[in-house]
Parts: sequence; C-alpha cells; structure tokens
Amino acid sequence: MPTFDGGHYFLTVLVPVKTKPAPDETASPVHALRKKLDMLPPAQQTPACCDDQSPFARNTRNHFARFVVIDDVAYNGRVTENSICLLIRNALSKKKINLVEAQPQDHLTCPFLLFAAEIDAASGADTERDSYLATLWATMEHELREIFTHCEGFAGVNDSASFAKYIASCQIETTMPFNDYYVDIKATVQSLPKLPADQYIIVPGLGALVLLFGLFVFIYGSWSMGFMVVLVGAAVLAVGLWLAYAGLMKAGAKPFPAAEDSNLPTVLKALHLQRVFARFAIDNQLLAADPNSAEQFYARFGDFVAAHDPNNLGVIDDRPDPGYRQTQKPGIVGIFEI
Amino acid sequence: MAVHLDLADIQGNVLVAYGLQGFYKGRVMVFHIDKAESGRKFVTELLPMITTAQACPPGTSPGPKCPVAVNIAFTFYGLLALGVPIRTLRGMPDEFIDGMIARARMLGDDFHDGWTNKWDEVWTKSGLAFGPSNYTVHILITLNAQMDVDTGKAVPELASVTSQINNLARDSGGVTLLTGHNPPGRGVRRDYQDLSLIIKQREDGKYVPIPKEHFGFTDGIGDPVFEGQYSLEDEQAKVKGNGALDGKGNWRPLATGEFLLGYPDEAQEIAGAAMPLEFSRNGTFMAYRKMHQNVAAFTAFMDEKVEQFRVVAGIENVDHARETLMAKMAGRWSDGVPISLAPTWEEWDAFNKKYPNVHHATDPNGWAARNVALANFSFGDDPDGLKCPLTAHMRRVNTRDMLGPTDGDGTVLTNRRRILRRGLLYGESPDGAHDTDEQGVLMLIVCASLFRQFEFVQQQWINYGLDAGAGSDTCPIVGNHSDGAPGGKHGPKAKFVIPADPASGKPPFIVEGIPQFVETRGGEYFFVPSMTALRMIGMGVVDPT
Repeated sequence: MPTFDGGHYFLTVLVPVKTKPAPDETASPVHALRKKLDMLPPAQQTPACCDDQSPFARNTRNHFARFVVIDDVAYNGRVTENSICLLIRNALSKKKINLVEAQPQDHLTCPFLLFAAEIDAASGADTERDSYLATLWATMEHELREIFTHCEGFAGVNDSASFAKYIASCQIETTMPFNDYYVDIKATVQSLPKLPADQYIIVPGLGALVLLFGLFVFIYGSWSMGFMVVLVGAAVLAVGLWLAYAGLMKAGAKPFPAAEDSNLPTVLKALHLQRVFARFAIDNQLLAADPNSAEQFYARFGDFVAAHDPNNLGVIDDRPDPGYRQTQKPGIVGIFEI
Repeated sequence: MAVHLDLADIQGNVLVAYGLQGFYKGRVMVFHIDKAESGRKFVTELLPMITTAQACPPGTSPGPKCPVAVNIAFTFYGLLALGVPIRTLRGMPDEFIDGMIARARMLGDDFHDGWTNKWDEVWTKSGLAFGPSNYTVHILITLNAQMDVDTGKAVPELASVTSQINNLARDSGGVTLLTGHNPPGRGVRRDYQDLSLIIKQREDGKYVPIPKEHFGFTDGIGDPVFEGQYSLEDEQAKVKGNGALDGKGNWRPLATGEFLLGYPDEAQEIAGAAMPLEFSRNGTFMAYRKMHQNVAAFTAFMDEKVEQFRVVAGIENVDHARETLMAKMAGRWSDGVPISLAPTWEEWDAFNKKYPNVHHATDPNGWAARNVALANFSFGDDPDGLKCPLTAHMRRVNTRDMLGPTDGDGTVLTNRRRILRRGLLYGESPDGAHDTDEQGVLMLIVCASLFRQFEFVQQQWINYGLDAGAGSDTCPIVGNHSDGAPGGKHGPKAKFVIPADPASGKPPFIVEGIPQFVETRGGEYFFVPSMTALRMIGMGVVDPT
C-alpha cells in the first residue's frame, strides 16, 4: 500500500477536465484552468513578484502539494522492428506489414488535472485523507472552487464532505512515494517483517519431493498409483509457492515506520529553533568561551528555552495558532521572519 | 591513446596563466563592430598577431621573442555582428547569449541597490541595446606584456602593439574602440583596462613582482591540470592536488573536454557545441570579471574581529590570532600554505621549515617540492571542517573530495565544476589606500561550459552554503555579504562559522556582519575561438551545413 508510507499519506488524484466551455464562456476550460493555476501565488514567485503565500500554507498538514495539467498521453513513435526480420516475414506471410500505415495510438478522451499532496498521517486510513480534504475546504474553499469548476462532476460539491467524496472518487494508487526525511536506518531495518524462509520453503519443498517420488513410482512401479502421487505433489507445490508469494507480498506491503520528527509542525518548529539558536550562539559566544561565566551562560540558555518553548508546536486544528509566534509559519520560508 | 593538442591552433591564454609565466603586465581593449565587413577585415588582419599556445607553451618562460601576448575573444552579439550564420549561433549556450549582466542576480553580483551604477560604463550596455547607445562590447583583446625590470613598467612593445591594433580598427572603417573602464561619470574616462601584478623595487634597484593579491594572500597556486595541457613530465609534477582524485588516492589529469570544446569531458562524451565542429573545436568560453577589492574594509574588519576571535579560540598572541582568522576564512595561510595541512600557527611554522619558500632559480628542487606540497591535499579527513572550515573560500571553490556520494569516491562530483583561472591584478593598494580607489583582480575564468562550471561554482558554492552544510552563508571573502538591512533582499547580516573541535571544549567562533569585501565592477561572457575558427570568421566562411 504505497499510498501510505513512512508516516506520510501520498495522495494522487486525476480529475477529468471539461472539454467544452460553459454556455456563457468562450475560453477553453483547460485554458481557463491553466490561467487560474498560473495566478496562484507560488506560480507567481518569480524574483520580480509577490509576497503572497500559497493557500496550501494555511494548513499545517501538507508538506508539498501540486497541480499539473495533463493534456494527453505522449506518443513515443512507431514500435520498431528488425527490418530484416520484417522482410522475411512479409515474404513468407500473406498478411503483409506496411510501414507507411500508422500503428494505433493511445489518446485521452479529455485532459486531466493531476492533484498530488503529501500529508502527515498516522495509519493511512481513508478518514485521515478525508479530514485533510476537509481542512483544505475550510481554509481554501474559494480557490478550490475556482480550480475545480473547470473539471467534470464538480457541480454538486458544496461542502467539505462532498469535496472529500469527489476527490476520493478520482484518487488513484500512488505506486512510487518518495520520503525525503532521514530515517534511523538501524531501527527501520529492525522493524522490517522477518521472512520465515523455512515456512516458505517447507511446503513447496514437500510438494516437490512428493512429485519426484510420484515420478519414480510412475516409472518403476504402478503407473496409476504414480500418477495420483504426482498430482498430489504438484498440487502441494503449487499451493506452497502461492503461499510463499502471498506472504512475501504481504510483508512488502507493510509501510515503513515514520522517520522521527518528520511531521510538518515539528519540521517548522525545528526551522524556527535553528534560526533563533544561531542568534543565541552568536550573541553569547564570548560568554561560552569564558569558564568563569558558565553560570550566567547556563541561565541565559534557560531563558532561551523558556522563551522559545521547544515542545509547543503552535498548531490548532491543523492550522497555525494565530496567536503563537514561536515557530516558522508554513509556506515559503522568508529570509527575515523569526 | 592520450590526447595530443594542436598547440598552434589553440590560443595561448587557454593553456597558460600568463601572470605566472613572466607576463607581469597587461592591458584590455574592447571593440564594437559597426559593419560586418570591417569586423571581418579587422579579425583577419589581427590573426598573425594572435599568440598561440605554440608561441608561448605552458611551463616555459616567454623569452625575448614574445614581449607581448595578444589574445582575442567575442561576445555572442559580436559573432552576430561579424556575420557568423544563425545556424551556427543557435548552437551557442543560453548563458553566453544572455551575457553576464543579464545573469547578475543569479550570480549574486547585485550587491546593493543601484549596483549597475558602480559598474564600469563599458560593460553596462549588453545584449542588443537598441538605439543610439548601442555600443555593446563585441570584441575583447587582451594584451599580456613582459616587464622592464629597470622601470617596473611594461615593455615598450605594449604601447606599439596597442597603437598597431588601434590603427587596424581605424583602417577597417567600422570597428570602434570602446572606452569607459570606469564607473559612469566618475574618474578619468579610461581607454583601456591596465593590469599589473603588485611590483616592488629590490635593493639593487630592479623591480620584481610579488605573488600577492591586494588583501595580502599569495595567489595563483592551484589551477586545474587537464590532459594534453602539459608534457608528461610537467603533468606528473603538477597533477597532484590539481587534477582529479580517484577513490584510491591517485591523481590524474582532468578530461580535456572540461576546458576545450570538441574533446571528451568528465562525463565521457563530447558535449554538443556550435556547428561546424571545426568552428568550436580547440575553442572555449571565458568569463571576464573585474572584481574590486575593498582593502580598507577588509583590514578594518580583521582589526575589529581579531580580539573576539583570540578570546574564543584561545590564542594568546594577537598577531597569531589575526593570521589564523585570515587563514580560516581563506583556507590558506597568507603565504599559501593550506590550513588543511597546517591547522595551527605552530604547524604552519613547521611546514615552512620543512618546505622553505625558496626561489626556483637558486633551488629548483626545493621550489618544486614546496609547490607540490602546497597543492597536494584533500578534505576527506576533515569532514567537520575542524582544520579547514567547510565554508572557507578555497574549500568552497574547489571542494576536492568533500562531496563524493560515498566515502572513497574521490573528486568525482567536483571534476565537472572546475575552472581555469587566468587574469591579473589591477590598481595598487599601498597602506592607506581607500576603498574608492581602483584596486582588484581581473578574473578571466576559462571553461567549456560557463553554465555548468563557472556559474555553478559562483551561485551554489560561493553565494550559497547548502553543500557546505552552512545554510545561506556565502563565501567569507568573495561572497555577496548582506548588510542585514530590514527588508533587504539578501537576508540577515552575513556570517561565517569557524568550527572548533568539541573535544577541545572551546565553542565555535561565529563572525557576524561581514562587510562587502569584493564587488563586481563589470564583465561579460566571451567565446575564445581557435585559430581555425578565427580564420573562418575573418574570411566569412563559417558553414554549418
């Protein structure tokens, strides 16, 4: 289940985009959609522009989120063949292959909007996805409406529950998640399910032995008895191999544990502490160098810890606590904000 | 089969740092082409004067036959003005077409608001610059001259070659010398950029150069060594510390294609270049960067910070502390000894006793041994920068074996980011010199891809700290140093961290509020053609089909 791995839910959604303008519109829906996406703040974060934060920065659950418009699938060109083989085949067969006739090509029936987001999650349950989507609806309903209005089937969406249902209906499995947080490799290896090789080997091994014995009986003894034993052996071997395969796949589907402190609020708090601690270190380096002022230095560090509240992440209901300043705000990290 | 270079086809300034080969003086002339035909005539008539690597081979002294070395290069718009076909020019790299001033933000050259007003006027009109002020730089001619030891000035041939070139330009009927190697409206309007090493008079009255740049560091020690550049014997002598290091500690020369177009590079391929191949082959690219040095600000800052550093680092002697602070920022002691090999004052002293700084004429073996010792080191044994800080200037610009994906990968990642350092100093910096005076380094950076090599080093390693594990910290010496003004675009005050060994019980030292020590005062990107390409450009026969 790679949609959930390492303490993060990897949401991948493909939403069909309308192919005809609404009655009172002239612009192509995919054109209008792209224009809307280009007007979202992060798209405008060229050096020349904008202090606005992305609407996704209004919550504290998504690490990354992106929209991509997919117009069509790419055509890779004709499937090539060895021309000598083709020549021989055409000479021998009545059904000639004409290289001038185009091969079938795949196309999409409409453009699709890809929405992908990585969010903090404990178990990967659907309810976690839905609670994230509800947070999005609560914090950026206006933008979501402007984007998804160009997509099929959005007309009935009018609250967080129907939005979650709409997105869930377009969700596809994420097959290659990418966790960019350092894991404790030793602990992760220890957490991996043990593969009881003996269990996987004993049943199919037994089946194989029975099968061989049956063959022996078949050749040197009674053929009818031998045939029966061969059948039993083959059945046991097949079941054993399938069990081994299913067991391996099940073990492989178990998600990796979360990397320590890899949820967004903790990462933001760490960024904040890194900045303010650099300030603390610069301001107190002369004190730190002098053994006689150890006590004073220790007291200052106590003040620092008290002021910056390392255990308070400053989050209320998946959103930054409006009254709390001792953490980094989500979104683009400014160079001055502390 | 090893690469054998056709030295007579390659311009001499690609293979040789003239300043280290007896050419202590120099001059830069830049021209604008008004008419393609005149430009081609000018190029053709200059051709016999151009100094090739054959005329001034690496590793030798120039001798009396070559008092002045003449080299030429073109901007993108210069090639366009000369009538080089569009089909050839479309194979030119983006950054070369952009030109340096268009890329100033990315390079970190926008040191402060109104930075272009501090640039020398001649470099401020780039690209197409439509309209009456269309005097954009098209041709760069660099003259490197030997010095008259009796006067400390350039040999008289420099003046005669200059007027010869000026006459060629005038007679061509459509090539104009561009003046203004000075900020707009300030100072004397200079026709040329004159260059010189720092010269001093000996007791016997003769003048000699000293190998220092204006801040007081010995310069010109490390420079990449690539295949085909030197004779096998010289290559063996120079490759240690200057070439590529494998995982087993062996040094080899870098691939030729990193510095000359048309040869296999460190990616084991011949990179695409403007066609036809004979137009690009044996040519390369060059960034011209006039870097002003605020010597007074540098000296004052050292004076201000040395006492704090002395206390935090626990160094008794204030002179020792000052030298150590400078060395930690540069990565080398002021005489060039790498701090990686001699991390403390005492070890520095011991290094100089073991490898005394002798003159190559009196003790060639001792001189050679010191040169190898100055270059041959790596950073693999110092991952935390306890000896040489990860953000020291030298460790940033040539990361050596620091960034290998795994231990024992040698310099594999750095091999694609090397640059040849050519160029010379300008101005003088006697005691009491002001930052408003003219003094600095004219950097001529040569590499096959300005984007992949020079610009990467400048943006990622000099003006950013991520690869050194130092966040947004920039190079303490040549980096863009934010003054921390609220609302400014470069963030908080520039800082530099000198790590301390945790076992010593001492805290690291953090230097904060570094002023701008080095400022770009102009420059441009140039294509340095081979003699073949020059001949083709002059004749107008570049044929990309």
